[in-house]
Amino acid sequence: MLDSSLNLGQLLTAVYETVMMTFVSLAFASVFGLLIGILLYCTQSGGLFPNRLFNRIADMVVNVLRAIPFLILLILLIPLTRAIVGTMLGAQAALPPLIAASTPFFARMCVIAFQEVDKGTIEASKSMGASNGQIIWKVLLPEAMPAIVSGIAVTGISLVGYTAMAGAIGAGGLGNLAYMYGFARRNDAVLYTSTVIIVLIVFAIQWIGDAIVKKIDKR
Amino acid sequence: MIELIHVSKVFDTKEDQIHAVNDVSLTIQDGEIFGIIGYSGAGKSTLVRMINQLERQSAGDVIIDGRRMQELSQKELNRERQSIGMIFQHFNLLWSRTVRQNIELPLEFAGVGKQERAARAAELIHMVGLDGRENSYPSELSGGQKQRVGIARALANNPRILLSDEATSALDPDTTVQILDLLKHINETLGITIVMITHQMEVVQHICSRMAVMSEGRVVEEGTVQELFEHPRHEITKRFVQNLDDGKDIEELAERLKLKYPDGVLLRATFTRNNTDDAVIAEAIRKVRFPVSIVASSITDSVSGPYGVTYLHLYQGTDPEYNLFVETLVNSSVKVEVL
Repeated sequence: MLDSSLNLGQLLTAVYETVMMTFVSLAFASVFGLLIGILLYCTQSGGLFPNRLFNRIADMVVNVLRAIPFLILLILLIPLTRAIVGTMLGAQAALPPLIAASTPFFARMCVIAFQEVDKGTIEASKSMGASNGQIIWKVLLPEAMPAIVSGIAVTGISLVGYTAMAGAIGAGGLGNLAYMYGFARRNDAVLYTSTVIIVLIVFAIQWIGDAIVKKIDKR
Repeated sequence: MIELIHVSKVFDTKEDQIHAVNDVSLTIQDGEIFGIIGYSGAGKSTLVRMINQLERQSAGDVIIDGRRMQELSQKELNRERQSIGMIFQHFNLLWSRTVRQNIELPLEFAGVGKQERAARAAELIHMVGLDGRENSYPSELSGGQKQRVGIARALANNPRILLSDEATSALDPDTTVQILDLLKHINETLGITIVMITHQMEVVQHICSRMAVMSEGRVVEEGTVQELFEHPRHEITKRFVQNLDDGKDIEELAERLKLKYPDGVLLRATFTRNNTDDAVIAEAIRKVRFPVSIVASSITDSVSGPYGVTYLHLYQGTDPEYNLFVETLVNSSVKVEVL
């Protein structure tokens, strides 16, 4: 028997799971990605503390992780997920692969954001006797902040897409709902409702990101 | 006292080595304004960056007040840099900070407390003439105002030395003079040694007491500004002095003519190779009824062909008639300026 009704409780749970997966992994990716981004930027030649070996290795890890399609990363990380979370089902189990996929993505966006910072301001800070830590904290981060914030928004949006993929293989959320109920059980109401909500979440992230950027960008 | 003793800087590139600075020795006394002039690529930016060790020399000694700069630890160097301010061609302000916050930045680096920072910033804002703009962002300021913020920022930690890297090159002539006057005032009231890097002879002439001329990484001539102006020996120095005279003569002539012919309209028409041969002026004069007199004129043979400057005095006419005359000249591709 085909079910064509829309179960509100089920829908709300799915929305909660998607939002939770997106924002928890976005929080982790923002912190880790920013740190890796700072290290990548500062260790490159001509940077604040150049280190060719570290830069090469970190750069390669980031590139490899970014090159693996998310669906394959999900499967590859199953042992790691089991070891950390204890299960490979449910929204929590999706967090390790979501973080693993979005961190290098965001780290790369941070490097681009730092590269856009006027080198002259960094030279000026050095001429004032600033330490590397002070330059990163008081010059690099504030000057790159609008680009970092839009990077967080873009990462958040791609994470919404990743959660839908993770959902399809058992992580819950709107992706799971759309696939299991909407597609497999041919429930169009569920399919379209899930889609619309996902689009709305994406719009909301973009809108919030744009609003913050507009507020902090004094250029 | 700043002593540069046989300093060189070699940059390694894939193919060969570039000697940006080649065996330069200079002594800059306390309290003087020292100019280093040269064309771009002469090595003057690299040289000035050795003073605060933004560039490490490949050979030689940089000694400030008896301390060998290259022997300082990073921490000692950072402390030393706090007493060497620097200003830049493109100001290098943080767009994310207001004027006040930009000026407070070096004080934050030095670990100065919040209240003291605010008091010092207020003092500096007043000193550079930016009262009322303290909460503006750099994007809301003119070039001259931005450089004032740069100067205030460079002075925040009470430096003994101020390095100026083409600080007026991005500014218009009037603003340049204002900024130079401010630097002179700072030198006189605070006794700060100023090292000016520039490619503009006007800058050196306006405020420097002694100067060095750089070319291809070497100091080719050094002395008091007056000496070098009156008796330039090296080819490069001669060229700098020559350029300055040309510009000055033209302006002086214009001023003199303006005094002499206060009524009517005074025009400066600049002809180029393409129209020096034609009877452009005669044609324009034929179209109007008022008298036109040629009050000064010169033709120079330059590399790109002859070019002439003619000063015309128009009188006893009306504005529309004058406009018609100017239009006729402009249509024959003559550059016309109304003085």
